[in-house]
Amino acid sequence: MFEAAVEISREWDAYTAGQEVVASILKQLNGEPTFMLVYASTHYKKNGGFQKILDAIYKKIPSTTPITGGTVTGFLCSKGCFTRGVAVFAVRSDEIQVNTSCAHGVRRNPVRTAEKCAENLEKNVDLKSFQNRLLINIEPGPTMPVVPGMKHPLIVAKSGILAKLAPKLLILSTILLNKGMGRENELLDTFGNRIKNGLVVGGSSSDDNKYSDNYQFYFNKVFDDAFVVLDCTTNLNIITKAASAVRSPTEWFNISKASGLRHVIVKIAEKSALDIYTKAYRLKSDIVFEVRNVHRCFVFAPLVTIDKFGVQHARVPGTFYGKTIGVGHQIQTNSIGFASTSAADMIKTVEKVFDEENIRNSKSYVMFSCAVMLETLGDKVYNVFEKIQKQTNGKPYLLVFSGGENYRTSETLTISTSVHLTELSLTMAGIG
Amino acid sequence: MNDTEILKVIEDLMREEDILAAMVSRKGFEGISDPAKFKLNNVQVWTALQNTMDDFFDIIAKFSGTGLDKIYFELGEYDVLFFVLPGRDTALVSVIPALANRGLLEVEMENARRDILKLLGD
Repeated sequence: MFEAAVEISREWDAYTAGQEVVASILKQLNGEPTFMLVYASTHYKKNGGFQKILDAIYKKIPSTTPITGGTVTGFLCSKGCFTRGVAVFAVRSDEIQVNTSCAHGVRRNPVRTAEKCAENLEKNVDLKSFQNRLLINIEPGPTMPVVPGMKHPLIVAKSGILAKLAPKLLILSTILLNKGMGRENELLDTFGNRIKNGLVVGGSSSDDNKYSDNYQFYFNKVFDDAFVVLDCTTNLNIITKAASAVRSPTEWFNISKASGLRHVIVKIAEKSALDIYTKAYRLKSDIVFEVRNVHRCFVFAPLVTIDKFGVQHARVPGTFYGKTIGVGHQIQTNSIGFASTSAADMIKTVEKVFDEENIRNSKSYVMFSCAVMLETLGDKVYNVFEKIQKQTNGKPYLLVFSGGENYRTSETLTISTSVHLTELSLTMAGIG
Repeated sequence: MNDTEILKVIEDLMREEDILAAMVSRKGFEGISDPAKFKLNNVQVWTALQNTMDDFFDIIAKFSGTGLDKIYFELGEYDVLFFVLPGRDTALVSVIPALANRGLLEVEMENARRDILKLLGD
């Protein structure tokens, strides 16, 4: 038996939103859920709103029912696309065994956190009775520290002492204050190495793209530094797939100097990173200091890096401190290229992930996509909605717009244990 | 128009932190809005918009055969989003801060537009 249900609430009151989603999920399923994925927009932050959502849900389901999830930028389901509200994907099945794990300190020590989480899961997993395994994860995404006296997070600093100090301050803030880089690469690399079997899909928690703070949910608890994993083993069909919205670069360069835990590119081919970047796109060298809303402007001109397994990843510039370029995810090798994407390329990712029959045959879908894609597409996200509606053909699905997404597919399993952390991609798990 | 129901949609949109002012406007008619809930510091921006609203509809009418459904313009510290209700001389208008995450607000503007269209029976 396998049933899946998706529900959203647009209620502004957190407790009422929780009540609404759980009531509808219980109505859709013929019994209590086996697990629930719960995602909320940042609007509920005030007055302990996230806790109230979880409290309202647990009032109607047993306290032992696993819930994982967190704050995200938006979500899309058969009811539309929303940047405010609560979204739930729930499964009821007697053919799925669920384990969960949660470990703290991602920004302070991602390797140790991943090891702890993996250890908990490997202790309990039953790989003899079940052939398939899916690990759905959420981890803290990047936040931007606010410099005292400044109204907005420090994204652009043209010159002077602030530009020189910013990368160092970012490291200190990340490790000591839990505000800064997401450190997902280090976390997921370690996790992928420790968990030898199983497909992976997930994303980083985020807010409304202001990068102020983000949270993770684990049962009825709310955290801001936790790696949370829901581990499903089953003999039901499970498949994961990812599609990038970025075209491959035609020319590659060498990163000759990086800093900020390899999140900040200082020099490319011995020249300033910003000069090489702007030259590659034929932009004025000072343009990043002149435009409004930097993230939205340069999303179409992403950097492409290559991970240690040879897989290309788009990285949207996140900060410009002096002549450096900061990115949300760690740079693993020194190869870098410059690519392009467009709203049309982003919309096409839907066709790419659904282009196999066994994916189209799945009974339900959980998808993760970069929050930057949502920000960029704006109301044109409804083009994505229409395409997914057509492909899913009435089956329950939830697409979460998170602060970066990750995946491991069966193909990558054969060559490596890497969990690939992406930006500007659509990743998907078909379940059932 | 079901003004009370439409006003509820506007009020819901106005609860977004970065929607500073919002209105459903129709050519030749007073717009539907709740000015008491506006968060605009510079009221002149809104007054200028209201005074020129009919001129916008003249432009929209000229582009009606080309699928025009949105107009954006930047007014210093503010951006104005003008979402046209297709096939009608009506638009959902909002003012947001220039540095707001416009794409995310567009999603909620689109949802509001869809809700209004439903209320209008489309």
